[in-house]
Amino acid sequence: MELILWRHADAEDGADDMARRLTPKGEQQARAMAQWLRAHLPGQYTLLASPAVRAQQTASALATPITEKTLAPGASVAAIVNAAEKHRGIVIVVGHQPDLGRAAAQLVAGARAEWSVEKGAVWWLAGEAPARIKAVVSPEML
Amino acid sequence: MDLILWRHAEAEENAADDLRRRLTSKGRKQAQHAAEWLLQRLPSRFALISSPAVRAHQTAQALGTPIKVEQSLAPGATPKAIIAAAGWPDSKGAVVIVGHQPDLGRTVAQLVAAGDGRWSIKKGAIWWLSNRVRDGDAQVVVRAVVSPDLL
Repeated sequence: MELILWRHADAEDGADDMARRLTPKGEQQARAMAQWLRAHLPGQYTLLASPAVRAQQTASALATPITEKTLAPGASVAAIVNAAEKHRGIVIVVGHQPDLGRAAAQLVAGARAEWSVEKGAVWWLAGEAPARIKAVVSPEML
Repeated sequence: MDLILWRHAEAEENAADDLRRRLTSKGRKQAQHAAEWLLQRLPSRFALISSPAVRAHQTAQALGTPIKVEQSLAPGATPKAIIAAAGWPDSKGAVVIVGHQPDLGRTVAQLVAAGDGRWSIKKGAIWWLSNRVRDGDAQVVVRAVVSPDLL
């Protein structure tokens, strides 16, 4: 399996966390990352996103996502892995920190740790646990 | 600091002397592409340190800047030797290390996960790490991982 963890791009502050929208900078980050993904993804993949608006907007820069409520902020490692394992092939999960960094630490190093995943960045993991890190790209590095 | 670990690109096989193996034409292209990617992102001043093996030195040469050859980075280098050569975590600016597997993969496993794993790093691939202090804790951030097929 290949799992691509994609953190939502830069978002506005706001009282209602689920309704926070991307800033103009965030919209640009999402577009740039979507373009990179399009250049490197094979034709078939599954795109899952947290229901939070900033994650939905980020994912939508690539394609129309499947919304998974279990990927909302605070998602456990198990929730992220379970959501991905329902699908075959390449699965992209658009979600939040520290959730995605915990999932990467668990899948790659079997560790309970909080790895940093920058806003708008992608961590591309391949293989069963322990997974191999195939690529890490952040908007600043594009 | 920024620590860039760069595995040598594809090299010829079957040489009697491992240290003298040269890059293949594909390897030279891989090194050139990776060097272009790095030059667009590195600060104007950076240190470039290479293993003495020809395939590592040829890879480093693609950057076109002076190379410091460090004997301790030869194949079989320990994470400790690589970390010492780089001056991690206290060097200023950016340091590019050109070396070998599994040495570089063991180094990233140690720096990123405090583990003794042997992480996979493809030929010609780049791992870009940086360190920072957040909430009083020293953290290692993986800023980029790219391999020639993804450049």
